[in-house]
Amino acid sequence: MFDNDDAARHALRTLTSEPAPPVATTLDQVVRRGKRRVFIQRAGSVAGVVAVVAAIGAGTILLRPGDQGDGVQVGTSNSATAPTYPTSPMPGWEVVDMPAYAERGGKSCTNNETQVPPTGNVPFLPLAAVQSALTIAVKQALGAVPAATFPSWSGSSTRFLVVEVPMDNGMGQLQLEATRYGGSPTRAADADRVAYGNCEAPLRRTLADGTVLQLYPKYDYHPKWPSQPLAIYQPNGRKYVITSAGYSEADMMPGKDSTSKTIVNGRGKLPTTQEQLAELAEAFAGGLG
Amino acid sequence: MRGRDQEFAEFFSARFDGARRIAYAMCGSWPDAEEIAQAAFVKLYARWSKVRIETVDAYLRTILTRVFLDTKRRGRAREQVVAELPDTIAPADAGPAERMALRAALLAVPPGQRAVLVLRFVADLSVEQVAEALGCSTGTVKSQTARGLAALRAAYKKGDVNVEMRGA
Repeated sequence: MFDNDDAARHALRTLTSEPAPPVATTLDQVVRRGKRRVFIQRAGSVAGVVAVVAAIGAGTILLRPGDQGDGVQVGTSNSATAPTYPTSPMPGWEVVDMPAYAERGGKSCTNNETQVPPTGNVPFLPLAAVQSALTIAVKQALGAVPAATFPSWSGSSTRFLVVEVPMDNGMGQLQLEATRYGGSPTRAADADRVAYGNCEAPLRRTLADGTVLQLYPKYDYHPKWPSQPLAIYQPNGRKYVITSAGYSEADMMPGKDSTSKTIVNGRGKLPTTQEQLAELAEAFAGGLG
Repeated sequence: MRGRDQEFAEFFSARFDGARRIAYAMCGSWPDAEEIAQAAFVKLYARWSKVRIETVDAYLRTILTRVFLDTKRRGRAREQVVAELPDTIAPADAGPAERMALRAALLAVPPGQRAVLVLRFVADLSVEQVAEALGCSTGTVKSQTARGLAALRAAYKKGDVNVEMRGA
C-alpha cells in the first residue's frame, strides 16, 4: 500500500473521481472580486507614492535654510477638492462623495481606504431566515415570487443565494452574497465606494437602525448581461450584496471538460429598476431584523 | 480589454472545476474547496495581464496551493459556527469505503506534505513542476513526498480500515 509512487498515484487519484456538487462560482463573481482586488492593489501603490511624496515634501520644507518648519502643514491628497456629482435621483438617497483621486468614468479606479477585517465571530443567519426575507422582499418590490432558488450556504467566509425572477423576455437573477465586515457601516461603505462599476459615485441611504445601503450604477460586463449591485451593511457586522443580473442559469453553459459555467446569453437589461432594487434591499434588510 | 477578459473567461471555464477538485483533495471539504479555487482565480484575474499564457497553469497551481496553505496557517480563526450542517456529498458507486478511508488518512497528513502529495499524485505533476509551484527545491519535494507518504501510510493503518487499494 503506497509502497511506490505508482501505487500512491493510483490510490490518490481515486479521490478525484468522487462526485462533486455543482460549481457555485460564476465568472461574474470572480471578475467582480478580481476588479476589487486590483482597486485595492492600486490604492496601496497610490498610498505608498503619496506617503513618499509627502515625506520628501516634509523633508524639503524642514531642511530649508532659515525655516524651522514651525506651523508648516504638509499637503496631502485631501488638499484636492472632490468633484461635484449630480444630485440624488431618488428621494432619501444621497450621492456618495467620491475620493478626489477617483478617475470618474474611467476604466480603473482607486480608493485609499481598505476594509477593516471583521472582528468577533458574527455567525451567518440560517439559510431559511435569509431565503424567507429575500422572497418576501422580492414579492414586495417586484410583485413576483422567485421562480427558482439556488443556495450555496455553507462557506465559512462567504455564502450565496441566487433567486430567479421573471422578466418580459425570459428570466433574470437576484444574486445575494453574504459576508462580514469590520468597523462601522459607514466606514465599510466608504471603503467600498469604488468596489463596483467604473468609478461612478454610488447612492447611499442610512436606515433608522443604522443599516447603510449603497447602490452602485448599472455595470455592463457585457451588453447582454448587465448587472447592478447594492450593498447592505448592517450594524451587527453582517454585509449582504444583492446584485440584479440580466441573465439566468439557462444562459450559462458548462465549460469544456468542466462543470463550471460561463454566461453565454442574457436579457440585455436588468430584472429590476433602480427604484425596485432599492425597495427590495430595504425590505430585505428590514425582514432580517 | 475585451480580449483579455475573453481569454480569462475561457481559461476560467476550462480550469475552474479542475482547480476546485485539486483544492478538495487538499482540504477535504467542497465548500472550502470552492472558496479556495475562487480565491485563486480572483488573484489570477488581478495578475492576468502580467501572466504568460504558457505558464498560467503553473501559476494557478502556485496560487491555489498558497491559498490552501494560508487557510491552514490561519487555522481555527477562520472556522465559524454554522447554524446548519454543511452540504456533503456522499461518495457514490464503486469503492466508497476505500475513498473515505483514504481521504481521512490524507487529511491527517500535515498540510505542507499533503499539498506536495496532491500536486504530485492527484494533479500528476513532476517533481520539478511541484518544486516550481511551491517555490522550493526538487530535493525538498522528494523529501516531503517521502515523509507525506509515510504519514499517509501510518494514518491509513491507524484508521483500521481493512481494505486494500485496488491496483495499489
